Amino acid sequence: MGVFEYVWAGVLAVFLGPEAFNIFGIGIPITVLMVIAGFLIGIVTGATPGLSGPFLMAVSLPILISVFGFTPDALLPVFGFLVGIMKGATVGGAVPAILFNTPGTPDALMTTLDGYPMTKRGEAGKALRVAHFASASGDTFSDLVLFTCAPFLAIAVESYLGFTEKASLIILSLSFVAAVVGASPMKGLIAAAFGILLASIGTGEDNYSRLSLGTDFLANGIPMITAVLGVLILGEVFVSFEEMWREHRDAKAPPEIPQSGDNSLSFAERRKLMPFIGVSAALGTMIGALPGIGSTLAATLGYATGQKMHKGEIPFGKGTPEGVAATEAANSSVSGANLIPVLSLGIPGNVGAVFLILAADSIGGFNPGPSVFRFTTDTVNPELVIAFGLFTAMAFANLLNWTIGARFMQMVGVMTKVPKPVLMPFVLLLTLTSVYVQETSFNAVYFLLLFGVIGFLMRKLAIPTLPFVIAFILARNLETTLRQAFAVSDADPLFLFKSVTSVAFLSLSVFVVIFFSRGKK
Amino acid sequence: MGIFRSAEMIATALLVIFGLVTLVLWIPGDIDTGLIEKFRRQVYIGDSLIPTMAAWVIVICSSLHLIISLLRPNTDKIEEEPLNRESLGFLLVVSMIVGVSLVLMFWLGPLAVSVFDSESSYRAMRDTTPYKHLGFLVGGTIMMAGLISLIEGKISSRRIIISLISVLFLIFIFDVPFDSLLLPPNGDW
Repeated sequence: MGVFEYVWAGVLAVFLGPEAFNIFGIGIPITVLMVIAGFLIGIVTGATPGLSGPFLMAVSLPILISVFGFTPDALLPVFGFLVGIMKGATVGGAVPAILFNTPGTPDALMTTLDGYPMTKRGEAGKALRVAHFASASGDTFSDLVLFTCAPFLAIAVESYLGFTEKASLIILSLSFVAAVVGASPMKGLIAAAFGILLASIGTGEDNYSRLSLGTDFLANGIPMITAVLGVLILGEVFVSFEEMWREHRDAKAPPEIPQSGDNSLSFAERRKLMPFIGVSAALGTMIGALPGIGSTLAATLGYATGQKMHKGEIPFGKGTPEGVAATEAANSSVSGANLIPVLSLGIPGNVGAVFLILAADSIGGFNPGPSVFRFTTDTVNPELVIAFGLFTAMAFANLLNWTIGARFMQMVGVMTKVPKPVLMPFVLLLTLTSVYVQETSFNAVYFLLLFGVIGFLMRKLAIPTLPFVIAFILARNLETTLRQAFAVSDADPLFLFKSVTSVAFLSLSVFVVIFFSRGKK
Repeated sequence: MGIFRSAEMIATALLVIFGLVTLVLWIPGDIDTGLIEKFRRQVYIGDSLIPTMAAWVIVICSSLHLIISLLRPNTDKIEEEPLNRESLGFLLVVSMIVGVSLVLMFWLGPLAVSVFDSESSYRAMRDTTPYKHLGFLVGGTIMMAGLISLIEGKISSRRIIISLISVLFLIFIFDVPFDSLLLPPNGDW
């Protein structure tokens, strides 16, 4: 198969794949349906303060896997739903930020600075339109960069990097994530090492399950989904419990402000916003392509850059549409670029990407990484078809965003009224249930709660959770690659230092840790 | 010394101890192969290598962090919600609520079967309403209502009803449409 045939096969896998149901004899493909469902639910989730895209991805993943099973046919519907959530939640996060000065997602915090003053002037409709236009533009730009860059980067990695270099690259990625996330690179490294250590439990090549303390409970290792969901989701839920308990206050929605100002967004106004959107989208895409740096930083940088560029009569922070556009374009353009390291290197750089890897790992038949982009001509590479199917699902989600996103976004402001003290215990029960449904054992619930407590303690001690999770996911890959590199080097103890590229990666690992240690605690 | 800083110091010191115990006791005692193994003239990486590397990183980074923290003047400003006794006490209360709910979730169904249908086992009845839903319904409702009451500092009948409706909603989305999915605790029986 040629390149274009692979791309076309990916498109067909989405639009002519298994049908969900028939309407007047026309089959509705299940993947298309899942992208729509994920996108709409994602907007609702993003618009609910206290919830976020990764929350929903986490709780829906076990349900999706239980529903679709562990066959390759499940991959595209599950990916489609997760991608839909990612995109929907990014757009939805702006809604409560603009209407009620309450960011639905952390990266929408900067949106409140100009969005809410616009609402107070009676221009909430205009602010929402600006946020949607900027968000959809940034997201589309970022996806285009992903579609073009990921295959080339993957081919380069596959062509030029051997086992040794790949092992060093994983070490570099972990060091980078550990160094840039959180307050201190040392804490990041501790978190990453802790993740690798716990991932080693119950695995290995020997007949005895290592580090299992001779127990059946640990003999099969720690289910990845329980560690990831526990630390990322339950840890956050427990922290929010404590915050609400300390505050002893109901998250009552602020009163609605009557909207009587200019709520349209003309073509000329959109054109005026484009320089801000363009710069923020480029910044967000660059940041998104680097593992570990999240959309919150992108939003902050986008806003700061936009502020410098701005020469309008309403300054940033006083309710200017350019402020909303700069923030939303930056935080939305992170999501597509975030998948560049996942698809080209197999390294998840952020929480959203973690759940895509987790889905792929749970279902099987698709191993995100450079080997996906093998353009075999004599035989069909099914992973490549899935990869282009994923790109198609993302493009379709963008199309939804452009067509129905704005209208739907205007309808979900009501979600701010959901009381957080009710919502968070529900999220806990939902997470426990979803994990149980997938693992069908109370042991999984115990693991989940244990990792929830670990996540809680890490947050309280300002130890970043992302390096832990990414290290936990990559530990098996790192060990396998190290074993292979050692074997091909004829058991040379200095095997990691025998290649210039590998030495460069390892030196860079040390450099990033030292560099980011300066000025941090 | 600020509360956050002292909690952090203790936690970092505990991490150093954890890393050392892992290196000295856990890894040598609980892994059968060493760092490098030789088998039939083939040399390969043993199961101990990766955990040992990870434990060393924990020991070195924790020690460095501890030293840096001790040398640094106390300028820590993260005093809002440190890890203190209040936090740990709160976590304990949450654990108790969740623990009691899980015990009820696990045992209520089997208990009901043994009382009302002593001829059958719970395994045989785990797909029969109301037994299959009883534990989840009661345990889940108590978990949600208990946590909401703890957070809000009051028990209200409205919140109990909301909890019950939420659990019924979960039963509706997990159990009603999918025959193959098992709600807790039915997979364990």
